[in-house]
Amino acid sequence: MSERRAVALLIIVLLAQLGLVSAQVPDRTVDDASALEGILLRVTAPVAQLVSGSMERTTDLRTRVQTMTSLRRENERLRDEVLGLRQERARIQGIEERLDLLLEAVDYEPPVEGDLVVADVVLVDHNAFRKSLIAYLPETAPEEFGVGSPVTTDAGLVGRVYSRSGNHIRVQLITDRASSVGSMIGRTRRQGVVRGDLDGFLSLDYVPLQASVQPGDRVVTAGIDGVYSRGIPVGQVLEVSDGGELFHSVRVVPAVDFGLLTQVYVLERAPELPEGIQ
Amino acid sequence: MRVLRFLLALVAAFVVYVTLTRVFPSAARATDVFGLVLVYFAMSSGSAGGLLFGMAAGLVHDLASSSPLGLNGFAGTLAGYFVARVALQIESTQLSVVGVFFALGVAVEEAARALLVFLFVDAANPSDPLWVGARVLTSGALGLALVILRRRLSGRLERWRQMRRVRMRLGDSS
Repeated sequence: MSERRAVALLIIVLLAQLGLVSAQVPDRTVDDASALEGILLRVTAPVAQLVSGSMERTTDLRTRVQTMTSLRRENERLRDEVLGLRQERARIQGIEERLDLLLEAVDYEPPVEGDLVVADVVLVDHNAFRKSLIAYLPETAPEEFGVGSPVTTDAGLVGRVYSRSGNHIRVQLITDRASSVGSMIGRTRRQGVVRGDLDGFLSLDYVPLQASVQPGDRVVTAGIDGVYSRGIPVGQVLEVSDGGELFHSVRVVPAVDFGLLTQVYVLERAPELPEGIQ
Repeated sequence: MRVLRFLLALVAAFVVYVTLTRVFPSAARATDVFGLVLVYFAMSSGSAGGLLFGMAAGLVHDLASSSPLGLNGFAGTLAGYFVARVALQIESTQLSVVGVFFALGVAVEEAARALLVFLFVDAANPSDPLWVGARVLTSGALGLALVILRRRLSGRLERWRQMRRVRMRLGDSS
């Protein structure tokens, strides 16, 4: 092509494109795209979408690979942990078996644990001559949950049932003066008798002066009175003083806050002793 | 064949442009991939071929960048024609001259685009001269790299062809 024709072509092409640009620019002042823009958009959008989509897929793939890597690490860590726990379990099983052998050698029998029922507290009477509460047993509660049944909460010992009428029971609180609970100090296993006090506290009697007792010691049932099974929390030692020539005077705070009682657990009463032993 | 290569180069430039715009917007702003294609093909074409290559590259640039159709087409046409004319008169194969071709071609394109933007689109916000300068410089460097790569590949291809011819002759004689 001669140079003159090339210049002519250049001018024609430039003018055509100038016209094209000037035709489009006014359309930009309105919101809707022009027909030409619409056609161009339809042509170019799929390509751009394809590129954009493949990039998003690449990003997704990268994220998945990262997630898989972290999951693999987590899996390895958990495998190690499981292995450690299995070893620990095997060790504890060994200890348990040795403990069984030892218990068998000394003829030890764990305390009998019976069933329990939940009773709704109807009335708590702190001021009466006998400190007690009245609770309502479920309709289905059998006769085993009657006179002599221990009464507890999650926190500790409440008392024992001393009368039952239908599904209502009256419970003697451990804070009652007439109540006595065979107990022991958790730390030293030293036994004594917990009795109610006048001011709502408890006293632990018959603890010899040579026995170690200190404020903060936990007091639990000893399982020696034929009523309460062993290990039920009774309270905590508040103060210790010399009560006389032979025994400590130990003041105990009850484990149960009797002002918050709404429900109690009534345990099955302990089986009676054989006749020859009574 | 040459037109087919040009079309393939345009498609590649389109993909690179869209990818860069999305992943590295600054890199996309500092690089004129369509300008590279334009100058690369216009350098070895006549005036008519140069302006047509330039127009096509500019129009595809318009499509990719959603600018008014013809804005980059106009600038590309002018740049293509300019590069083709200068290349016909200088006819140098020196690498430094080739690098200057790319930089000059893109500079002409930028100037024409800036003029059109000023006249038709947004007179209040002309192109940032810093980015324009960056595009010119990177185009010169990238164009140079492109030509070096092409020469090396051509050399290897030629050597491979010669080896093949020699082997064929040896095979015939045995």
